[in-house]
Amino acid sequence: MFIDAVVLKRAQMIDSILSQQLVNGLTLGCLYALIALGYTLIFGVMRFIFFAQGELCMIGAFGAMGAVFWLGRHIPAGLIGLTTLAFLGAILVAVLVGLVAERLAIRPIRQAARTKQLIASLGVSMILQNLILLSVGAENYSFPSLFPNSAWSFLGARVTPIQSFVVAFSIFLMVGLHWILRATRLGLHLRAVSESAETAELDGIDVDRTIMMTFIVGSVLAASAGVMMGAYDGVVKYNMGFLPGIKGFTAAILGGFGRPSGAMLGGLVLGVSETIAAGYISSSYRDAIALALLVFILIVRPGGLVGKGLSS
Amino acid sequence: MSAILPLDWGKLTAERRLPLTALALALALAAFPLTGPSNYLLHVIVLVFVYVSLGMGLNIVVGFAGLLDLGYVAFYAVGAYSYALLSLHYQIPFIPALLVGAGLAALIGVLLGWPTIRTRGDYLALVTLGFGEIIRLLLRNWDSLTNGPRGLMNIPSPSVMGFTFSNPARFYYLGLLLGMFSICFSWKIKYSDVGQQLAAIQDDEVAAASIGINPARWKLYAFALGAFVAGMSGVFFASWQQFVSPESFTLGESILVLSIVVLGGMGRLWPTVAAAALLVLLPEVLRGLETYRILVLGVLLVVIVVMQEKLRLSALKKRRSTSLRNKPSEVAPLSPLRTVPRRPIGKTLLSVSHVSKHFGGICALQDVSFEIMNCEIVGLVGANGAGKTTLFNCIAQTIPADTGKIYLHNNNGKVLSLTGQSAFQAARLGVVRTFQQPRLFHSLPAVTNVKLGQQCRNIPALWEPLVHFKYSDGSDSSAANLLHRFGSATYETMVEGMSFVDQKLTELARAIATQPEILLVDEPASGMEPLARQSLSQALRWANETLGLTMIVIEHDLEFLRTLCDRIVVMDRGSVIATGAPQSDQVVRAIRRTLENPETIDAIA
Amino acid sequence: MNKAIRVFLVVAFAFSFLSGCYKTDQESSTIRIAAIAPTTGSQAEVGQDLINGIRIAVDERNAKGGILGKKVELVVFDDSADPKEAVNVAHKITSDPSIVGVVGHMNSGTTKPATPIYSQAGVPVVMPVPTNPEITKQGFNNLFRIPPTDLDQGTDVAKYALQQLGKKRFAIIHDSTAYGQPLAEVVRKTVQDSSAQIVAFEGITEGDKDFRAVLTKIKAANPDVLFFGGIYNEGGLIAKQSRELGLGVPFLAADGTYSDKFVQIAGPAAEGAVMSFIAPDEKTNDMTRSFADKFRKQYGGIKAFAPLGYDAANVLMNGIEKAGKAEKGSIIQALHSADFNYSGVTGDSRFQADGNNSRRTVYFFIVKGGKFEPITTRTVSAKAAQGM
Repeated sequence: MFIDAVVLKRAQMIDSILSQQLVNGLTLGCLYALIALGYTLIFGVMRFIFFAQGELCMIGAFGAMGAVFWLGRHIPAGLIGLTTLAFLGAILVAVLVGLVAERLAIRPIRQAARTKQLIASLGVSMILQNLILLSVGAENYSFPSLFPNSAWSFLGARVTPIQSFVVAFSIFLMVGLHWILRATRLGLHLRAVSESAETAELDGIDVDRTIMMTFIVGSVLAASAGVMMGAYDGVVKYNMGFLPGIKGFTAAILGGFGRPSGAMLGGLVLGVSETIAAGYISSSYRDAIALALLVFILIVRPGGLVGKGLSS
Repeated sequence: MSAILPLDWGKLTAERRLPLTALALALALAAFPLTGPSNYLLHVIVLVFVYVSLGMGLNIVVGFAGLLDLGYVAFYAVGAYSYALLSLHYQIPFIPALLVGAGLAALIGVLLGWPTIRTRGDYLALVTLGFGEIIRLLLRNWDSLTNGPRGLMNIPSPSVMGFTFSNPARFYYLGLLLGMFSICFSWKIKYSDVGQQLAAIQDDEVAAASIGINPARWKLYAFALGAFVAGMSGVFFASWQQFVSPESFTLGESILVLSIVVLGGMGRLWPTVAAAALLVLLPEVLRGLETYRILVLGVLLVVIVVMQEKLRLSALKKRRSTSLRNKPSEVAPLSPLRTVPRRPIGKTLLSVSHVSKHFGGICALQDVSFEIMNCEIVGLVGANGAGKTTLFNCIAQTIPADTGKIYLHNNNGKVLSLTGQSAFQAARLGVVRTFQQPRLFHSLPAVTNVKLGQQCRNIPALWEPLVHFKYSDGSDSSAANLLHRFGSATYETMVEGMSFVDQKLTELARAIATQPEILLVDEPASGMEPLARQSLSQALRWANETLGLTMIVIEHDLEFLRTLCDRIVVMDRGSVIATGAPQSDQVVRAIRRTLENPETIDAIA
Repeated sequence: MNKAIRVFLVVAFAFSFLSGCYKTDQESSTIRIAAIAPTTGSQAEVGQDLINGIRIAVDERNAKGGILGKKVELVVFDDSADPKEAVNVAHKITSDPSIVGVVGHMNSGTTKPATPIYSQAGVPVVMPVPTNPEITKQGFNNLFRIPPTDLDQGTDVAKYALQQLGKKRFAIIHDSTAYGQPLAEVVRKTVQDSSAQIVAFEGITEGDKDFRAVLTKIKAANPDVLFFGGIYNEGGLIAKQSRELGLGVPFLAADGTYSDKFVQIAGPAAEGAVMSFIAPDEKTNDMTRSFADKFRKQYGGIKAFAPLGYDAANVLMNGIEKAGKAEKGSIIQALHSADFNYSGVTGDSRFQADGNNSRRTVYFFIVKGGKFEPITTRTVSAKAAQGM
């Protein structure tokens, strides 16, 4: 009887660790999914891997900080107001930067060799990181606390408000994106250009404008991910976008590049597997494991876990 | 088809004489320590040597082979840590440790490169980036081996036969040796037969495969060489700094070396050296610039890529508007040939059975079967879209067929299956084709294009760059003769300056130079005036009579085919509808039937 | 050939130009000492704080007329808390013969690889902050350390938790650096030597931001105290996230985590955290109070290590004065001499043969109301120190 109790307690404990890790992993996965979506959308319309997607997140996070600290001081607002302010600030700044980048660094090289496009994206990434580094320094800056610290229990795990918010808001964004793609004219244009830019042009679709709108959507996704990353981690730093960017790209590939649903799936899979690996295998090697997954997928199954994905 | 940047062989003749310049530079640099500079200055110059070496190594990978490697620093780290561990734990002296370190780096390069070389350019970049970071994380976390972030200290200075390199001046000379070696090594690779193969692959991988060049092999070779140089640099670095930590091997370092290569023009030698010197010295000389270095690099990368693209697009526009199609060919009419008796048409050489090919929903080839006899010249006609070029693609394995089998019967009576072979393997077996739009290697002169064809089965050995002492572009040899037979007046003409017709003829010469069993010629006479057509017909006849070359010729000019071919195969909408002598009833009727197809009318007209 | 000659001339000219830029002064009218800390990078705030402490000491001394009739010139270098940079800086400093002494570095991870270079050049180095004991075990005679080592700090922290707090189940996290990991290992050993248990010993990576996975694992092991060996950036996040996950055990850390930034980052989770530090609270006595006021007027509140910088700089300058000349070897001798004693804002400094301070005091603080309040101190006297 005693042994049964111990085994049961053990099982419960393992259960609760597992469910806690799942909750952690799910939250992380939603963030990766948002970043992956940005990559996928931009790749879809212009066959361009916009390497600096992670940096857009970082810009968004700093934009949110700026908005909350400068404007939040003058406008009396509760937590909800501040949160809205944060998101608005993030989106505004990220969209601006995204459009500038598109115009100056991406549009001129739309037809260049893929490797050159990658070099240019790398350059943009370096520029964005270092502009922030030079203006605010390399310190970790505390992100304002917008969420209370209480938590509730769910299947043995402690779920905090920020975690719930991340998951809920990410789902909201993904549903919204799905709606845009299926039910609006922009979505139609986007899908048409993704299929074939030439045909779309012949059909009278303004390809340049569609690409611009795609960048805006991608920037909105990145900015939202950035704000939530800042809130979830509690700190922002000039290089916070680098690793999430790579992981977001891994997620996009995992799910089959070029398919939004794949990106979401890939993000969740990556988030959960990374967290489980960190919890059960080794915390220090967690990034190495995610990167090894990237290398493995690109070599063995560049079409993604599920299907064909992208055709070269 | 687009290379990262053409190597511009025709213009860089000065670079071919590199050893002299290198010697002069080495002497100048060797004299420097005698002027009594501070230790710190010596230290900085040695750093320049290290980055020159790294830049040269990555240049082989990015510039010569066109592979975007974002994780180059991993090989650098392998070399450095190998030397550190070998000398600290096992007291292994410098030279053996150097060989082990560089060799290990090269081995890891081969292991990593083998599965990844085949991936697309941008995917390769990300794989290498991932790998570079994994190496750094391993170094950082594998405490028991590498001492983690604390790094390894007190690494012994190199000593060779009792002579220890322990003071800054001695390290300077060792560093100078490293830098000069890497420069000469790169130069040797570039101006060798292997280098020419790499240039061809970078220019047009499909065309290279069509003349028997194995792109994967040479890319892997370049990748491993680059890794070797990085490993070597790493060994030197560890023995010089006497301290290694994972933080010396970050992605930022890879990007720095990549920037050196990009700034140095990707493929050029001296500009890359200058870029390395600039990127190391400038922040030291101009204080306060250090913090802006990465920002400036990022801007430079974007600006360079954008500018290159703008140049490329405007050059493309100029080329189109100059309408080289109408440029009069410089083909001199060939002297009339002696009439050589035709070789008898022999047994089956090529058999195609039940080949089909679909693209999405479109059926391009439907159950195509026929046979080609030895020494035959067969014409292939049909409207646009009938599937002629697709058939060529499938036979030559440029694109694999969906179903069916293709066999080549060679001299010894063996029957070789072409199905499942890759394009370069098919070419080496003797199935060579030309393209509708000529695919020449833009960065090589015309005669070198032909010379590369000659090397179809004479593959350069891996050590060829080492033992190769006289650079040859082929203008002194049989390649030149072959080229002349096909009409191109000047051997060293670069592709940009050639008319469309000259390009097609050069491509033909290149294909014939491979001494194929069977040659698939795709619309050789397009764009040619009657006089040129006659010369071409004569040249093809010559190849058939003198060399015994079997051919399949796609053409829309029925007159041209009637005088040239023994047999005509007519295709329509993916199937063979008739085959027979050019004037035979069934052929004439079949052609008339395809004329009723509205697409044909435009083609024949 | 022409090109070769041209290249030769260009290169020769370039070099003569460059070497001209680096001609060192034959005779210096100032006494030059170097200070090194991370003034850029993720620890820049704390690094700059250290430099400011050093600067106040130098300014004070110059206001009193300098040393040996000459003004003291402070040359500041940045090592970005990166060992590679630190080695570069060490090379820079040791090839400048006019620099006769060094105050630095700040991190153990950067100091350790730099020390052989200083030792080879015979430059006296006074270390204001690095606590890794291995630094002074290398057999160099030119190193002088102001604070106690992590052997002391780690042992004292562990003993505090064992004896004062009565903890029995220790969870230990370290940041895998040359500072955090050895410190954590000292704590582990001390706990293992007692009757308490180690239920978890985990490493994280500096720069990481999400520790929930490893904290969840630790929570499952049911500890009653959490010790973190590392810097405030990660420390703050670990404290915060452990609270979020419901791991409500006391948070214990050491000097690397002691900083306002920790409180900022951890938020309300910082309350009740206990930390050891290597300098006393500013309200301890008159000397510390007046230093704190002076510092506050010029640079704002003390962040962490400024008092140690102040003392280190003074130690070096006193050494130069005692030596009677600005010569490296004599300075080292002077600092080693039996009657060298300096009383500063962090306590006395008298150096043993291996360079360690014979007075080693560890101070304990607790976070109350968002501020660090002193609780207790543990001092090891010179006699007991011999055993170490």
